[in-house]
Order: sequence, then structure tokens, then C-alpha cells
Amino acid sequence: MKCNDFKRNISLFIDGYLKEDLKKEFEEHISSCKECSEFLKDILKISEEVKKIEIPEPSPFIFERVKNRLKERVFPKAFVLKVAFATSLSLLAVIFSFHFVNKGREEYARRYIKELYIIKEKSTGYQMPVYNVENNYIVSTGRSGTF
Amino acid sequence: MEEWEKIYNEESEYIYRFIYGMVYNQDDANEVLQETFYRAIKHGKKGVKNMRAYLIRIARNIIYDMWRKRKQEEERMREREESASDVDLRMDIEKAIKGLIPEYREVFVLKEINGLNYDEIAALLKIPIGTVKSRLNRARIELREKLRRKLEM
Repeated sequence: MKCNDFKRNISLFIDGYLKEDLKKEFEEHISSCKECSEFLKDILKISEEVKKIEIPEPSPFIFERVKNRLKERVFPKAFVLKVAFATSLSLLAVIFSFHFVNKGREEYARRYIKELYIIKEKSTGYQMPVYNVENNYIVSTGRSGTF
Repeated sequence: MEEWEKIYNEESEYIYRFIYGMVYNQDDANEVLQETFYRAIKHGKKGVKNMRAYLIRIARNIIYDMWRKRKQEEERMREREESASDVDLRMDIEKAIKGLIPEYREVFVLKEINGLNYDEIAALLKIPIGTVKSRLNRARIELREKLRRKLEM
């Protein structure tokens, strides 16, 4: 076994995954190659030291904090803001739609009256007084005026 | 919630070991553990066959998100020339582990700190066993190269 092969298989050897035939070659290489033998020794030492690393305990308040966050989730600020924004937009849309509907009605009334006047004038030859439509009411503007 | 509290009591230490092995910072580790259980409870346990693996996957995603938000170079903390005064081997090992790229680090931590075997690591990370073997081997070789002088002392 060459040193490159040794290094490539070192983890399999340490973790017990190396096949029997290769394992024998591996062990023979350890006894014949000082550098690879040192390499293996260092890897094992690192593994040993890692297991001794003291991992601190997690904070004892973590689960309480998780529960509190979940309770907040019922009415999260972002959700409330979104609902408020959507409601405001809807209200504005309703207000504007009333305004435009009214404008539309005024315009419709104006055109309707104009059409009636044209028909009347043509049939009678009589010039009709001009009226205007304001706030859904027909008001007289006198002899002249525009629709 | 009682059921989740039971899961927390049974699994939190194990999950924390993985998290700490990845971040080596107590404040970050606590934050990640909290976020892990928050997301797990929010998502629910429906369809979860292996709770431990499920929690580790969530924790792993949170850690990766955290690293993405911070600068990668700061998180990896690539090892520079060690000063002669730094003689604590375990601290050097921690620093060296932090210097591994995430793909090597997580395999190394799951093997050496969490004690999983190759099949378990492959299933958890959803990678082939061959990839587990090669990443673990590279992690070990890289650590040895970094710590060579310290190991001689």
C-alpha cells in the first residue's frame, strides 16, 4: 500500500469500515512507514481530544422563550399591521367608488337631459331652457349654459 | 405543548451538542436551539419519523442561514499562524474545527461529537455514503495538517 492510499483509507480504518484484505495491507504499512504511523497517531489523538471538549449546557430558559414566541404568534405585529393596511385600502376603495359612482350618475343624467332636449327641440322647434345637473338634482342655469 | 416539552427534555442536549460543535459560541448556540424548536413546533410533527434527525436538519438550516447573513470569512475563521503562547490543544482543536468548510465540519461534528455512524450521517444529510467517507477523511486530514505542530508538543 502506498502512502496516498493509506491516507485515503485512514477514516475507514479508524471507524471500522475497511475490508479485511485492505485492513491487513493497512496494518503492514503502519509498521513499515514511520510517517504514516505518526499520521494515524495524530488523527486518533485529535479524535480523542474532540471527545473531551466540554460542551456547555444550553440555557435553561430556552423552552419558555419558545412558548412565549408561539403565544405572540397568535397576534403577531406584522399580521395586525397587514390586516390594518388591507382594511384601510378597502375602505378607501369603497369611498372612492362612491365618489366615482356619483360622478357617473351626474354625467349620465346630464347626457340624458341633453338627448331629451335635442329631441324636444327638433320635434317642437322650441328652444328649451338649459338646465344643469348638480348633486343629482336638475337645476336651471337660465337661458344659456352648458351641459 | 406537553408532548413538545417532553421532546425538548429528551432531545435538546443532543441537538445542542451538534449546534455547539458547529458554531462554538454559547450565545449563538442557544439562539439556534431556541429557533430550532420554535420552527419545529410551528411546523408540527405530522409525518416526522425520526424526530432527532428532523431537529438536526432544522438546526443545520438555521446555522447555514446565520452564516449566510454574516460574512463567510468571519465565520470560517481561517487559521492564521498560531502564536507560541497558545498551548491549549483543545482550544486549538476548536479553532481548527471552526476553520473547516461547513460541508466537512458538519460531517466531522456528527461523527465525532454526536457519535453517528456513516449510514446515519448519510441519511440525515441526504448525501451518499461515499460523500460522507470522503468529507470525513478530508476533515481529519485538514485538522491534522493544521494541528501538526501542536500535536508534537
